[in-house]
Amino acid sequence: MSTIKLETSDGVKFTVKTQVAKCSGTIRTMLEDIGINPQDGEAIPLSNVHSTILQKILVWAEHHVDDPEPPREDADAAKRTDDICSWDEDFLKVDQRTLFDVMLAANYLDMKQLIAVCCKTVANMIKGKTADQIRRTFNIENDFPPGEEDKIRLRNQFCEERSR
Amino acid sequence: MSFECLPLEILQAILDFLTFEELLGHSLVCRRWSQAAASLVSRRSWLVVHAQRARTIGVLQESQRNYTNVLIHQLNQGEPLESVLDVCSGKIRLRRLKIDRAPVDTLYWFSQLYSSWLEHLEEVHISLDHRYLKQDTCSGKSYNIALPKLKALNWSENHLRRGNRTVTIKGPRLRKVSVNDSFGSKLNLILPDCDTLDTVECTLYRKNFSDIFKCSFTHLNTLILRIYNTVQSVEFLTHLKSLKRFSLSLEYEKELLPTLFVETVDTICKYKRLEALQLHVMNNESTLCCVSLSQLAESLARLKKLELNNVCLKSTNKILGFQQLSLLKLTNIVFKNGADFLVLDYPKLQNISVSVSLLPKLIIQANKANDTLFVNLDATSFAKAVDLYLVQFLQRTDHIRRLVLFKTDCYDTCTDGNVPRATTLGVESLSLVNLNTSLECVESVGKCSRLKHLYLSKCSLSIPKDSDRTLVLDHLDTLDVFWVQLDDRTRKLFPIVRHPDQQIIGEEVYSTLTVFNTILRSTADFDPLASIDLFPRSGV
Repeated sequence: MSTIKLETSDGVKFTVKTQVAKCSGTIRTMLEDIGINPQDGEAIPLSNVHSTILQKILVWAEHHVDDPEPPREDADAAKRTDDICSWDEDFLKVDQRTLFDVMLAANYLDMKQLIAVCCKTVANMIKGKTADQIRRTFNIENDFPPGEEDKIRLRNQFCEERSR
Repeated sequence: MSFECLPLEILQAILDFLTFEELLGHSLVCRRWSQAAASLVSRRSWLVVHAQRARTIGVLQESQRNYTNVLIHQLNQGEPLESVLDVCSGKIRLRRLKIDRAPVDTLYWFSQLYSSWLEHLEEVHISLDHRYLKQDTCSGKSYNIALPKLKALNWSENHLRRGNRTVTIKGPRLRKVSVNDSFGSKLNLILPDCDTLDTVECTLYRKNFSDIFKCSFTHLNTLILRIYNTVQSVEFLTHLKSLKRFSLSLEYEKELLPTLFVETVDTICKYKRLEALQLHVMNNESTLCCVSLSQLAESLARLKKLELNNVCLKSTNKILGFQQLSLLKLTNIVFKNGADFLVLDYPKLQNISVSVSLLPKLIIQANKANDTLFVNLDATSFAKAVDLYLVQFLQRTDHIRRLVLFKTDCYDTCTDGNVPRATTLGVESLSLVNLNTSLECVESVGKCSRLKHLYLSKCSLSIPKDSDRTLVLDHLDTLDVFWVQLDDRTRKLFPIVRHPDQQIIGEEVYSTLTVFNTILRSTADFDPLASIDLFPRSGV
């Protein structure tokens, strides 16, 4: 079975099955389009990903490597957050920092399914909270200039939900 | 490390999972969230515009949001709406438009004055309405509207009384069309040259299908057609050979019924691509509408879903064919030959829905998938349905594991106060949907030790007066309750539980106790009848 080497930002080298590494759109493009030859034995540098995070992501990719291609989503279709599979749910039971690191790395590596499941997890964290509760939970500063919030409220009043 | 490190598009992807209300609330967290939410809000909403907006139009003028969807509420000619529309048309690149309460003449005025604004329109909903007019003064003038980019049209008429005229909508790229005719309408709608049509849904009272659509139908996949004026010709059906999904409800001219019905079935049998067929004859003479199941099976090799309503069946014994059929729904069926049985032995048949009175004549052969049966109780009371039909049927059809007993609407008035004698249906899962029943009835079928799952959905439940008795069904694995109403306002606790300590708390609504949802699987939209719905989420 063919493998390739990946090198993380902190200099750690991973040997990974090519098929698993190709869960990443970024790596797939490097191998297929740009024609980086994995036989050279040289590691592909992933300068934005730390080894602890890559390790975690590889576990996810290994588990999902045989997943069928998801159906193309209709941008207007209602989006659910209650359909995270239990394996992913357990996988993402991590501290907030790690979750955001995984999400950032998944974004850099272009792993759409992993990004989606992370987004759902975060969406579930912010669902049912008020704006004020969110600011406190995630330590976000209310940086609106005076009066701006009222304007947004007024603008929101102009809008009526369009059924998806 | 938190949200500030996320790229805007990821923050947007997260916010897009929120409900619309949550999205509006969360746009007030901080500037960045507001920025991320803005385009989602614009995409997921209508900007509501009406004459009273003239006073607050400044908010819209200042807004940085890129609106694309506009809802015009009550289209009136001239000021003050015109000045609001002038601001909108100068600022908004319109993709979707919804117009409520538009008089026919005003629609003409609007389409002429703002024709260049409408050029890029992809989706339009027009609701013509003359109920709010002080004087129903119609010029009677016919007119055209050109919408070159339009993909979806939703046209509906409410109480159009006068106005014998023709509105022609030129939308050469139309793919989805929905037309709701008005009962007394004298207005003609013409959609010429829309040869790319994919999905059409029409409810017609006076208009004729072939008068509206002047096109080739070569790409038409889905057609849902309800015709409430008596049909005198089915010639229009001959042009629909590309259909994959077809629902036809109609009433034939009485004298022509036998001929037209045969012609209808013969024509439909030429739709070789058909995968879903729903045929509902609204005439009262179902014995005159004879469908041969073997003709359907031989002609329609790809058919996956079939629903027949108010027809007469012949050739019902073992039929070769229907290799793909997975859903069969039969309502108000009679047999050509009274001695006939209906034998269902199709390899992929999964969901079967029949009227309860059909059970004595039904034989279902087991295959790998068909362990579920949906039974429509129609006008039969619960006790009678169980004692007279279900027990016997399930004894000789013992591969049925899941049973759904339902009525088609919530206004079940058929209660005779009787309780079924039987206690063993022998199924593992029982769902009661849209039934008006009693605690005793549920007890009689719920006590069976083989039953593992009980589900009550949209039922009303009468309980013995002046009694605090609680029915404990501790052999169940799951007990799900969704929108169930008790007739006793004094009770606060639901009278059925899975173990003595459980408490299912209801809310008082209109002086009855209602339990809204105890389903823990967080599927608020869970509908047990969804799997026998041939045309879910239809329409534009």
